[in-house]
Amino acid sequence: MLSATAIRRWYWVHKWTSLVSTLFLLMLCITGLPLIFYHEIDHATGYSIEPPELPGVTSRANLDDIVAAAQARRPDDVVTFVFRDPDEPEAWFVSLAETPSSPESSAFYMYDARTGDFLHEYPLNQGFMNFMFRLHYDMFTGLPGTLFLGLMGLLLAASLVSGTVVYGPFMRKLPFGSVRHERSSRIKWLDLHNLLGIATLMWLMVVGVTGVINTLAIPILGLWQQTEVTSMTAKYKGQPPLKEFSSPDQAVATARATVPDADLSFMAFPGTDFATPHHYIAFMHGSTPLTSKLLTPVLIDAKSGEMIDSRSMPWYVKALLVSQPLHFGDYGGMVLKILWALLDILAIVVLGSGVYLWVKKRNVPVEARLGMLATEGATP
Amino acid sequence: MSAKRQIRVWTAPIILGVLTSVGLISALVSDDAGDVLAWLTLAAPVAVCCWYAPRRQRSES
Repeated sequence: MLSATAIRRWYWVHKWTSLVSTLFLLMLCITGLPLIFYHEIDHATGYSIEPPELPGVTSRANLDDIVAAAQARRPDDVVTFVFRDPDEPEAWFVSLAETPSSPESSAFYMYDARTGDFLHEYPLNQGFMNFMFRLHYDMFTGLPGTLFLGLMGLLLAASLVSGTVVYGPFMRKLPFGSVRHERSSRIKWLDLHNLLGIATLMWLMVVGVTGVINTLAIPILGLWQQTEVTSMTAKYKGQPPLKEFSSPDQAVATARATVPDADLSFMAFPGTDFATPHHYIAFMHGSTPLTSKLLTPVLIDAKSGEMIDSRSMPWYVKALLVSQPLHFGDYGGMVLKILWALLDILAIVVLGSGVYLWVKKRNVPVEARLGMLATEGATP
Repeated sequence: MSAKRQIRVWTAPIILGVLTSVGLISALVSDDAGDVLAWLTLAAPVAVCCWYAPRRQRSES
């Protein structure tokens, strides 16, 4: 059993970790709500399109031609990545940027994987969803903003742990799920805060902690680059940068042959942050539900086209990759997305009611509250 | 708090936590059956909130 002092300390932790982070967590929950349906909203607004139906067409376009066509659209830019999407097997996506290491892409094209036809240009850095995403991701401030939001996620975890500890003493006289509508508005909202908070606890904890891991994506990939990739490509150190690259189509074919039962997720072109100045790196995903979330890199010499090395990702990159679906809720169909949205709305109510309770009773010590609540709870 | 009371307070939260965890993991490791299991188990916390939130308190036992 917790002593009165212990309860007071845990309550203090709950109050302050929540108060400091609530505004940001509310922003994250509200912007996160439309982001759950990013894919569907993009299609509904015409930001993304589906490849046309071409019955009977089984040809495969050569990726070299698609890359050349994308390059021709923006001759001053460079191709940075080519992507595949398991949901759109008939499409290739090509991104370009002003320089290989530019943090932002300059264009994102969609090509038909059967005919090589240009299909669509995705509008970058504009629109409602992009605004929601940037607020949610870094509040338009780059890596510092992302890391700051990660810190807010850590405060959420501390708030959930301390909130759970004080849930016990608050509920000792009440059956689970009690909501005292007949009492004052504050007591009713305290009961709702407790009920909704404890019911969504595990989901909030998982989404919060995986969100924190996601904020570390750039440092995590940087670490992988500096350790694993550097050791795989040590003999290329000091060589001059390449002027021309070997065939990307061949590079993808080599990567597919290297990792059996896997398909391409995306391939980074030489010089980008995901590759090296002298290599393509093709990132392959597996075919089972779990391995489809993981990536195996294949390094390909961008001069000779030969496979150099392929090692499975270290644990910290795997942790990042698995934490992405657990944060996004995009791994169990539309029903899971709707549940994700409902749980998110419940989380917004928990946050809002927490602020309301603090405003209402910020001067009443927790002991008085517990004593008073115990008396009130005992009445039928 | 007595052991009996502890059990009464924590039974429902523990069940909900376990159901949520099962759902979050099942959709990750299995596609069809795992997805359905995730829908059922993750609906549990939502259903509990919708069931209890609008209800007046039952008389204290």
